[in-house]
Amino acid sequence: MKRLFITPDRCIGCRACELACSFAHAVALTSPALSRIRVYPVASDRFVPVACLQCEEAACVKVCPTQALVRNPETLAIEVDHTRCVKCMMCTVACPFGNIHLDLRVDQIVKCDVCGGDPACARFCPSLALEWAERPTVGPVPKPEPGRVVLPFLVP
Amino acid sequence: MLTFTIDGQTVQAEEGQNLLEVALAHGFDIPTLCYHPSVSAYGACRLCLVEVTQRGRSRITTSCNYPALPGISVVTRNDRIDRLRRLVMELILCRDPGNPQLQAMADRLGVDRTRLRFASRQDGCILCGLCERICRESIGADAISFVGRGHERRLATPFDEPSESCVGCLACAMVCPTQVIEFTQDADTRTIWKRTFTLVKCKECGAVLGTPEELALFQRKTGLDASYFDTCDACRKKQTATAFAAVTWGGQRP
Repeated sequence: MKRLFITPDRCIGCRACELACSFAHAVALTSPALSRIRVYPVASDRFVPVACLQCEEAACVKVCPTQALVRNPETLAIEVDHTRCVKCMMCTVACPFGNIHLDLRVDQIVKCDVCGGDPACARFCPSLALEWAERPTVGPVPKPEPGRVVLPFLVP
Repeated sequence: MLTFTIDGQTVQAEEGQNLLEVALAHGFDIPTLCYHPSVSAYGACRLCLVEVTQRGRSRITTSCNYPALPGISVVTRNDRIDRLRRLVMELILCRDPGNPQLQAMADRLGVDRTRLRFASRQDGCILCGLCERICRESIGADAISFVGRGHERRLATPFDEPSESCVGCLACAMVCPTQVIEFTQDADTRTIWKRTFTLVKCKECGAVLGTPEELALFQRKTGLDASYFDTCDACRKKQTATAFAAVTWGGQRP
């Protein structure tokens, strides 16, 4: 089973993941502000990407009064069923990691859904700080294989 | 698992599912105002009419509260259904011809005006009771219900007093198909159903989290610690980043 692995010490702070995420989930508009993954600078050269951890016993799922948060059995991601959601916002308060939001621009609860099994953030991460894999890569970051989509100026 | 047909297409459903649920899941387009997948079907708006044929007999029925049965055949649209839906829409529209949500549904069904007039009140409420069902079944507050009979029927808190059971979660206002449940919110208070709540703020940044009653109700229902309900999502995310940084590079955890 593949998972989204986050390795902060490989993150170069380029925010290609935020851009890729907002493009992948464009509803009415796209903007990195709508991204479900967020890169935090913790020092001038240290960055931490934060996205939903898809908790096994998730507070958001527990708290949802309308069962609008459902785990996709194929990707194990928790997805929002917008036909059920009543926007009570309790999931956004209860999530201990702050990884689910109400976005007023699209008037919807948004969270990482691992793009249905091929997360755009991991695809565009040039430094393997984000990986969609069975296991995270250990050791030095390999050169991107030929044909892999990376922003040309960001190849490590 | 049981099998039946919708518009000639064979579909499968679980026992206990209703026709509307199955049809929507298979991409059929059925208009509805009072249906919500999280609460029990009530059959109030009558717009989800379909024709069900079982053992050679056909009947027009609401699909939201008709069970999926093996071997039936369902038609979601024909001239008769369209005509009936338009009549129902006229009846609903007369409750408030100026309501934008009702106008949108009327447009979708090809109704441009209503020949009837509902004189006693034009407040946009179509008495579908979805607010009451969400409040009782999903939120568990049970603060509002139908009161009165006939043309005086409406939704209200007991004796029109500010309800003690209401937690001010706004779920009723959010699901209302005609968007007529009024509430106001400013920096510190929220008012709905005549009750004013003082809002709880994020302990880090002061962003609004909700009403104290709402947070307490959800905390009690989930059994989660009170510390889950005191910080906003943006501040939590920053804390998560700090914690990840501490794990990666060492240092003091927040």
